[in-house]
Parts: sequence; structure tokens; C-alpha cells
Amino acid sequence: MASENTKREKTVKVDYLTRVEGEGGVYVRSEGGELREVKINIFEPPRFFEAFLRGRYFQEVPDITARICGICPVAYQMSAVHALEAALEVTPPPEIRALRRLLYCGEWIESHALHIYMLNAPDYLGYESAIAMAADYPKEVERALRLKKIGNRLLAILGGRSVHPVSVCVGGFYKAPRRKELESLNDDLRWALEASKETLSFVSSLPFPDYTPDYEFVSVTHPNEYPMNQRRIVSSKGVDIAPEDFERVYLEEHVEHSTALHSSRGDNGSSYFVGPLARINLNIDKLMPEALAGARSCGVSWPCRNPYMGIVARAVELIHACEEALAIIEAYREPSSSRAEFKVRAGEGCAATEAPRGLLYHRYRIDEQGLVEFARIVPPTAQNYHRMEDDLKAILPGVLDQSEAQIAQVCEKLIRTYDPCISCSTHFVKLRLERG
Amino acid sequence: MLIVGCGNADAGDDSAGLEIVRRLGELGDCGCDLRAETAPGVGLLDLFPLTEVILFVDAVSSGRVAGTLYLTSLPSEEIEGRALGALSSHGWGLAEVLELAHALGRNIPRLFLLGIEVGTVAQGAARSAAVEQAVGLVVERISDLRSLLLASEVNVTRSFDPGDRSFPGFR
Repeated sequence: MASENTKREKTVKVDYLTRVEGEGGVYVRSEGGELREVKINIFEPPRFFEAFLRGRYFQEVPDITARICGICPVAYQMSAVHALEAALEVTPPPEIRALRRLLYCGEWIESHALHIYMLNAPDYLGYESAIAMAADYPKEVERALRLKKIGNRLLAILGGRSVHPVSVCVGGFYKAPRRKELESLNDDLRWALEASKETLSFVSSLPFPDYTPDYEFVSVTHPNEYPMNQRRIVSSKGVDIAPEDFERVYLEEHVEHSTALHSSRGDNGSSYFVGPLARINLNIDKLMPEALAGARSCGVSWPCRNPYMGIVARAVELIHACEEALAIIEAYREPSSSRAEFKVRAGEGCAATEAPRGLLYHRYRIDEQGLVEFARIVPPTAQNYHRMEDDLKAILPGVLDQSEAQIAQVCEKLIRTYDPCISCSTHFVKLRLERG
Repeated sequence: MLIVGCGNADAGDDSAGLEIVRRLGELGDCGCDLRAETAPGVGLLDLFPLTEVILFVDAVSSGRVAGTLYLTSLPSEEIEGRALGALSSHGWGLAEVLELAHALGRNIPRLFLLGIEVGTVAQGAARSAAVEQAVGLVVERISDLRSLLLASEVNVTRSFDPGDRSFPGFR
């Protein structure tokens, strides 16, 4: 962190916001003790995936979009295949849908374990990093490492490898797993389920700041499933739309200070919130039984509007993912075919699924040869930037009299609650503070 | 002894570590276990209980002539922690893994780094002739290298100019 001070202005720079994925910064300007401006400026280079996809054969899309993120590649694959299946009018059979949920469970387990323990918990316990925390909390860090490994192992068995899986295709999977392969995960998953409950106890005891703004929570919803792969999109402010209407209600726009687009409500320009907290607030009754019991007994009142308690929501979802993974494996029968048959045709389709860090929307248009003519990808982190800025505008006036290091810590702590994946969103971290 | 080849197969000389492990695998029994790691991170912790000696083979950049070989014990004061951290794109490289292993009280095997000075690391580029020669030399001398590392530390970084057939040196 560096500072440049004049009589009218004070500038603070923190080179990197640590414990987030990607690179960006925060710009804060105050005059006479009043907050004037807050910008989350993403300087990670744009990645142009939507442009890369044009002209590519539709079956390449799941593998290309998986490369957007090493932590949540399944999310990109899932949104891609569902959107393309909508374009091609393909409906995979129920056993394939279940396998896709199982794959998603693996991703939620590894991603949530990583964020809860290695990225976010140090904020509440006063450590600079998970490494520093490990000396005093070795049991918790060992638990995190094993949970993450189990999630990655599930990805490896079902997806062909633990990072950037290669088994997903439009219509289903290139190869369905043998039942024995999946059953080999059961002991680990049973351990993970108990470890997830311990995780919920651990995070529920953390000290959280008191901050409860009037968020618009947005997530996917399904009549009888906890949201992962399908179907409609709902919000806590009354939105209830098909994915086809997503771009009509929520708009992405370029802002000068960021290489990531920012999303807002189309009608009034307000920010909104996606992620585990939104999912639970809008779908709590769809949680698996033990996850629901944990959510009800952990001391949090749902719906919960405190963003810092996102870590609790992640722990509840960790239980859910382990529970659902065990249930899917128990019910699994090897399908006669690993993917649906279909004819290539021109079409357009979209879908929203739930990445570990929130709603992920894809839309594609393909021609009669199956080549992509148009692609749009709206990642969860890009949708949350506007909301993060609004949160900082609400929180920072109360801390402007503190040291630059303390202000930077307040910014980082808030932003990390969103589990941002900046690399995914560029299309953070560095604090610049100007005091007049 | 476990040899972990690191790098990017599609980035010219950055593929050297992976290529060495691949060629050693083709040789059959080279007397070492082999592993390729394109993104070494916290998963390296899982390797520590498997063996008493781990040799990481990776591309390095110090400004010297391409194909220069470096051999040192880890951790080494001569190598910036930041450089080791940069082995991972997500900030969890060998330096961070070692810190975490210490914090958790894990047993850590004897660790070594064999660095190969890069020329070009452009995406899609072929390996340079100098690095190709260095890869061949390491594969040819693997038996001597294994004997050396099983028997002793390399407390001061050894460097070998391209084509220096005294590699890996004596105990």
C-alpha cells in the first residue's frame, strides 16, 4: 500500500486485494470527511470469450467456456449446455440431469470449502491469510483441504479430471460413469457431510458486523429442487421470469473504470445481489433435510440480509451438496446412453444456472451447421460489482476517520464476502483513497 | 525420489519440465516416480507423504543464456519466494504450500529445484534449440542426478552453462 498526500487530497493504493481470484482495485474519494466517490475498478485484462466462441462448433462451447475459471468450470459448462440445448430443442433424460447435478455438487463442495476456510474465515478471526490461521486452527484448515480434495475427486471421476472437466457435452456426457466408480466416493462424501456440519458450527460462531441493507436477491428457482441447473429466475423484489427475459430485466453496461461489465436492474438502474445468500433466502424450503435443519438451527434468521453471513450460507450449501451427492449416487443406475440424440439445426437459446458464487447466464445463437453466431455470458461476479459499490458507499462513511490500512481492510472484507472471481468477470486488489 | 515436472505444454520453453518427465516416462524405469503438474498448488501437500525426496523441474527466468541449468535445495535464499509462489496462477505455489505444511506440522520431504533458463515462452512456440539440448542432457544424466540428490543437499545453487556435460556435478 502506498499513499500520496496533498493538502486537498489523500491517495492510498493497495496493490492487490488479496484472497480473491483475479486483479482489481478500489478507488475511494472523500472531501471534508464526506464520501464522494467509490469505484471498484477491475484492471484484469478483458478475455473476449464471447468473441472467441463465434464461428466455433457448438459442441466445443462447454470445453472452451470451462476455461474461463479453474474454480467454477462446471458452472460455465452447465450454463452453456443448457442454453445450447434450448437452442437445439434437446431434452436430456432425467438420469443425465441427475449426473449434471452431481457434477455441480462436486464444484460447490470444492469451491465453498476453499472460500469458507482459505479466503473468508481469516477475515473474521483476524488473520492475514489461511496460512497464518493454520497455526492456530490446524483442524479447520485440514478439514478444508480434505473437503476440497473430495470435491475435486468427484469432478475427476465424473468429469474426467479435477479441473476443467472434459466429459460434458450438449445432450449429456461423452461417457457415463460406472456405478462402482461413483460408489467409491461414498465414504468420502459421508465424511464430508459430517465435516460440513462442523463447518456450519464453526462459521456460525464467527463475529459478524451488523449491516443489513435492503438487497434485491436474485437466483434461479425450481419447483422442487434447490437451484442449480434450472429453471426460472426470481428475486426478492417480485421478479419471476423465464431465462429468456433475463436480459430484459437485468442489463449489463460498460463502466469506464472497469474491464468488467456491471449489471443493474433495467427499469430503475438499481443493483442486485446473486450468490449463496440469495439462493437460500429465495429457496430455503428446497434444501436437503440435513442442510435445512442446519440452516434452521444455526442461529441465523432467514431471509438473511447481512452480506457477511454469506459464509454461513455457503456452509449450509456445503451440507446440501454432500447430502444431494450421496442421494444421487444412491439412486444412480447406469444409463443405456450417456447423451440424448438430436439433429443440428439453427436456433437461439439461453439458460441460467447457479455457479458457487451466483447466477450465471448464457445465451447463444447457432446457424444450421451448428456454428456459433452469437454468444453472451453474464457471470455472477459482474452482476455483483454494482452491489459491492453500493455496499461500500453505505459502509465507508462510518470508517473514513480510520487509517488507510483500516479502510482498505474494511473494503477487502466486504468484497471478499461476495467470493468474487475477477478473472471470470473481466471482460481486484488495489485501493486508491483520495481525501480532500 | 519423485520428479515433478511443471510448466505449460503450449508455451515454448515453459514446457521443459513437462517434457523431461515425459521423456523419462518413455525410458521405462528411470528409478524415480514421475508426475506432471501444469498448475501446482495446494495439491502438492498430497505428494509430501509419498516420498523422501522431491525434485521439481521447471522453467526459470533470470536473464542468463537460454538452456542454462540450475540445481538447488529448497527453500533457497537465492530464489525469491515470489518466484516460487508464481508457479501457480492462483497464488498457491510451492512457497505457500511449504508455509502451510510448516503451519500444519506436516512432514516435509527433502526438496530440490532443477531450473531450466528459458528463451521463448510465447504461446504456441516450439522449444528453443538451447532448451531442447538442456532437456536432453537432463534425461541423459538422470541416474547421476538421482544418486546426487539421494545422497546430499545442494546448499549453494549450482549453475551449468548450455552444453556443460559436468551436470549435475559431484557430491
